Amino acid sequence: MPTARDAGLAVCHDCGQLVRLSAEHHHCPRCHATVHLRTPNSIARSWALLIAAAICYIPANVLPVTVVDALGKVQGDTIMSGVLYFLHHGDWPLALVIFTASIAVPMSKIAMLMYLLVSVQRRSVWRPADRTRVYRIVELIGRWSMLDMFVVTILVALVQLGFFATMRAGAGAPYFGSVVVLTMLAAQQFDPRLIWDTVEAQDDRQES
Amino acid sequence: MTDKKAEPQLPSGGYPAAAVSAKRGFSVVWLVPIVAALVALWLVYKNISETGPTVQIKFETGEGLVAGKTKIRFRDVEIGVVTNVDLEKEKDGDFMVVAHAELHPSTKDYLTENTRFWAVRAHISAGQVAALGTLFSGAYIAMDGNAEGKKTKDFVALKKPPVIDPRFPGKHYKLSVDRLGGLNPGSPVYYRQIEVGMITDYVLQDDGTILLDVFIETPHHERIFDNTLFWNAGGIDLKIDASGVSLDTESLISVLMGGVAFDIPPRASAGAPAKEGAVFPLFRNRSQANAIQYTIKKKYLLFFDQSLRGLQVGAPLDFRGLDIGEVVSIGLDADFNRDQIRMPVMVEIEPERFRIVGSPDQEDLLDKLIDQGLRAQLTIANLALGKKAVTLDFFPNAEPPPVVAAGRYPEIPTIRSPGAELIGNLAQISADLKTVPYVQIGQEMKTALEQVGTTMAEARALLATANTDIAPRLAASLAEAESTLAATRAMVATNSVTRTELNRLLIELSDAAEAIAAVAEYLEQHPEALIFGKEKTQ
Repeated sequence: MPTARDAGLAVCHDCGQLVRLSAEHHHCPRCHATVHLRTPNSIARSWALLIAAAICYIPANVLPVTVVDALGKVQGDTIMSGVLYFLHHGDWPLALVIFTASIAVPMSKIAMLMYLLVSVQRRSVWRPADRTRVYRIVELIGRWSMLDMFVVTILVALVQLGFFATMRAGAGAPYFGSVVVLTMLAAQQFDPRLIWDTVEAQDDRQES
Repeated sequence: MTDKKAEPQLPSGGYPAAAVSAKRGFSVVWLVPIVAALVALWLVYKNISETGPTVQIKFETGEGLVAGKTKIRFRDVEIGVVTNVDLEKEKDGDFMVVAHAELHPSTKDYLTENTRFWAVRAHISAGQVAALGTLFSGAYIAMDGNAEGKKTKDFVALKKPPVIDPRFPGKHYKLSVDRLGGLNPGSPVYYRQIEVGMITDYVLQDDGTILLDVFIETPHHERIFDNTLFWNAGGIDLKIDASGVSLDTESLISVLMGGVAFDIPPRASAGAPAKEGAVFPLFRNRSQANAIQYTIKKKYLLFFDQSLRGLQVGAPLDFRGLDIGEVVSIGLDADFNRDQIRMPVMVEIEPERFRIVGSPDQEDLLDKLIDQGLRAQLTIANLALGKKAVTLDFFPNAEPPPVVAAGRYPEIPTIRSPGAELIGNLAQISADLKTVPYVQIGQEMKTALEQVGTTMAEARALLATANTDIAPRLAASLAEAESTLAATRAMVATNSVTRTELNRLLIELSDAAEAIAAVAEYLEQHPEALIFGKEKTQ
């Protein structure tokens, strides 16, 4: 399959202008953005952000996300304790929603990105189309992972009833936010074309 | 840096081309995970450095102790939390509840053998509503830290909270009393109706008396002198005696749960400041405490040959309207030496009540006074209640007393009271009439009639006074006594308005507490209810 790289063509990331790559001119003639064939240093950056996200994921789950001060009783709730709480009280649909949005999604996102990175580094040619679909899923769900943070911010703003109940964001909340942001950045830094590069390279070898 | 410099190749007839180096630089992006790792490490360090000592506290009961929820407080500041509640078998086979608690690192200096722990639970009794806050927040464990002593991490909780807050300085004294009289640990101590301390404990002594421990807060302990009098100020001291109805209370709290009051006796010197731990007698009431200020008491015997109905032990001994003592005993003697039944009334005179003028020669003072006509008489002290008192007065015209053998106590001769005298006179007259020979009737009847005439006039005058003077007062006193009793009865009665209202108030209070607790619980389970309202019951 002919590729843009073979033709010495690249697309400007910003304005979409197709440019012919020469060794010196790596700027878009229309918007003067730097033009790359592939996202530079994609794998390293993606790894770095992903590892940072994985590190932040631990305090995000261990530390309380919300602190409720109700009638003189202070109680911190981690994400998992909230899930268990709703589960024990029969609210399993709510528990499922929280579990999916706050635990399953970030974890699977980190796992999926790691798999993609490893597979590209190992020059895997196994089911490139499916792996691209995995990447699309990662990009798609990334924006929904902030659901928790929205709920926390809304509750913190609303539940300010003085003596009866006061809600604060716990120490875990910024870490959880960091996990979401870092995974989104990592997904953005990952260049899905790398999946196909190895496939193309193998095809080329087979042809020659 | 792993720069690989390619060997420069010199193409023929030209300048060397710039070497293309495949530079594998250190990307700034790696700072992100490094920073994240540093933050995570810092969190771990903070967590470890903030982990304080763990202690074990043994309790009799685990009531209100919840792992992960029950807090430990020192001076009402949260310093830890119970992490685990276990049962532990003791050496004697009993089980103890062991609460494992994690404390704040700053408390580690206080974990000594002198540090005390106890559970604080909501407690409502007649005089005390304690730790109501724990109704909502649950029980907590209080700590009284003491940095002195051997370090330890195993504690046994106090069975009941210490009555005295260890923060308040003050001094302890002992009160000796023969019956507890409604006093309890926590009962207040008053000085002129100001609460200045409380009873902390009581011990039954081997001799049957009770030794109370009282705590007087600083600076009020400076008012405790050697001569300070303590009396039981509990309940309502409603006294009906010869001087009428008197009511004495310190405060509503002391009415409900007892209390102790103290003061320095009037006119008496206070004495030296009392030492801590000094023992004082506790009098039953204020009047008993004040009466005791006359330490010298002289006993005298009186023999009345008339009805003693209405005379009680404790009845006042009155000299021309002034109290000088009281009746201490009323006896009934079957005297075989005289073949008589006599009723000795023993009275105590407090000589200290008299101001001595001149040099007293007490040896025959009483005899001299009796010669001057000093006599004891039964008088009506309170018509409404039929109480009688003993009155001393001078009757210069009284008959000289019969000479009596000196007994153990000196005797004061008595004279019949006006009413009794009158009846006696009449009886005498009728007896005389019987014996009067009828031949002499004319002459003697005349004199007798004259006598009767004057006596009757006397009686009429007496009755008139009774009608105009005594009767209205009697009615007023009766009405007053009745209303006082009715009011008291109404307040104390089971179905009285006050009681009912108090009961209803208590019920409503507990309902309100329940309702708040229910709301709190619901909010805890459904915090979203604050936004969306209460969901429909399934």
